Amino acid sequence: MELDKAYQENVNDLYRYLFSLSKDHYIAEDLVQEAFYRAYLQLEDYEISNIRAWLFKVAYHAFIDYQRKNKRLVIQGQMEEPGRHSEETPERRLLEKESFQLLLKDIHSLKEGERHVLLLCDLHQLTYNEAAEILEMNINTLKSQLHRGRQKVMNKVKERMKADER
Amino acid sequence: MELGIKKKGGSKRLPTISGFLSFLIALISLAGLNVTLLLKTPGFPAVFLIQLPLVGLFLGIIGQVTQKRSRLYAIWGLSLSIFLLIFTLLMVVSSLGINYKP
Amino acid sequence: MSDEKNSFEEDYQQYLKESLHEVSNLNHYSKEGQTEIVTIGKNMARRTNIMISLAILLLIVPIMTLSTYMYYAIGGKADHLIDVVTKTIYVTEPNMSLKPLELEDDISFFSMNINFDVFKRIGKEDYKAGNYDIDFLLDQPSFPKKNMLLDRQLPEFPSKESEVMIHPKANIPFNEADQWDILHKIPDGTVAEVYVSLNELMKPDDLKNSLPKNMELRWLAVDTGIDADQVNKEGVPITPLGYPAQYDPTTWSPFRTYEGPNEEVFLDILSLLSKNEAVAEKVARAKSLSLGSRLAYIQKHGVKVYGAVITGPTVELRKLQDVKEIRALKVGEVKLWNWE
Repeated sequence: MELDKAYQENVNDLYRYLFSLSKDHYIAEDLVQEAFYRAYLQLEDYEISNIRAWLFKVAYHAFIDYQRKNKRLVIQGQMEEPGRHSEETPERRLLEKESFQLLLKDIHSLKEGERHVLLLCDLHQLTYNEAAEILEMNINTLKSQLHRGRQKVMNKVKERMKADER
Repeated sequence: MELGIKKKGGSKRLPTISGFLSFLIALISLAGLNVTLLLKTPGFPAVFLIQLPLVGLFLGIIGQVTQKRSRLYAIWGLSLSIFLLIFTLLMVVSSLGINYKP
Repeated sequence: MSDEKNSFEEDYQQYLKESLHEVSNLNHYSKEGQTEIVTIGKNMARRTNIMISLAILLLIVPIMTLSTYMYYAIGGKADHLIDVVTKTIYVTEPNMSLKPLELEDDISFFSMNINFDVFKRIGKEDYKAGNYDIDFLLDQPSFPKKNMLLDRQLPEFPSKESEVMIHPKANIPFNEADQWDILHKIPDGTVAEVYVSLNELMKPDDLKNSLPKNMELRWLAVDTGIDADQVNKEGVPITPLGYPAQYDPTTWSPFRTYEGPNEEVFLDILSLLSKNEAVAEKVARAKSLSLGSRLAYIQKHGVKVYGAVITGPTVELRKLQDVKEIRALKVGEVKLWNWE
């Protein structure tokens, strides 16, 4: 039961993470469900110290598997410009926040490795150790990718600011 | 646009159901097979060895035709059905190879 | 340099904070939605776990059954074992035959059970002599569970004292006069089976020719070099090896010989059994068959017999007393008249 509660507290976090990964409301919803399904498949009563990080790991793998299975679909999904739905959906609300949308766009323009690191460490505030665990990479590699990613994002922001000034 | 996405969302459920049914049918046939093997009932349980696995096979193949949803059940249903059919074939062949009487 | 780096980091964190500030309070799922998604995930996972465990459990029995069948079927292993068992009976049990077509097998996990009846020809009829039930664990047989229906059954643990067909150089363990006496006291209207021991080694055909008419030679005990000692090198008692003297019309009988004498079949069987001696020794009454050396002896010296099983009307069998080649006789089964 405690596990259920702990899981419930992370539902919205996972949704935001999966949305930031897929940029599609439906995919994110599906994958949230998938992630919890997998989480329960792997353990039901097991005690783990860091449930949040572990759930992120499950969600990350759910997304990677999804991406692998549906390469074509993802590309299509990216081409569909989101935010045009007439009804008031949460992802619309998310995307209405212009700066968030821009940040997401910037992050998605990065290389895959950097993108995942930035999403986990900055957008979702996981520690370096947790992120390294989830992505199964060396912590030093993670730090250097994070640094490079941040720099690139900042460069883009600066460019945009310059463009705006003009 | 909206409709297209909705459709995608709706159609994903159907293959899952067929996969689930396939798995379920395969399980039922397996259970039946277990009973006949353990109780050593005479005769050939064709329902469990041929009819149901064929249905399971068919549903399992339908279950494979999904892009989004997990194919886990369909894969299990399909492989169990194939196992049952191969089992039947091999059992018939090997029974003929043991103390065969014309 | 470090200043520049620091300012960049600060800028970035500032930017990040601004962007995240706006979205951090946006919750896509309501309280109910959260519970629902977790519950659905949990139930689905539970269902999957149950179904997969069930599938794995249910696969155990079919896979074990199938692998057992495959084990016995591939390379004709079961048929080979059955062959060894039945042929052992033909060459170690005097005047005993079986119907290979009626042998039944039953395969369960990693084991096979075979079950068959054995028969003795007494007079003109085959009488059911008993039933063999042998369990194999893979290719290892257990001792047969026998259920014999004979009045005068040969002992299950043979010894010198219980032997019925005796080599010319060995002592006769029973009183010959008593046996002739039995034969004379059996009523005339009966048929009987007798075990005879010869005065010297003979060729099978010579023996056939020296017998009176109106009786049938059933089984021949062949000299294998150690029959005079009646024990093998280690001192374990042995029983005669031999073969049916007549053409056997039973389907699948190894002695259903269209061409060539039974002797050749006998030698073939011995060489088959010598390759599967462990199985043969379980089935035979004698716990040692020493087939390698005995087969070599026969191949070197030819088939010479020192004993035989003869059946016929009791009246006719009494005439055997006058046959000079016969050293001793022991009476086996007796049945009511069926000769003509």
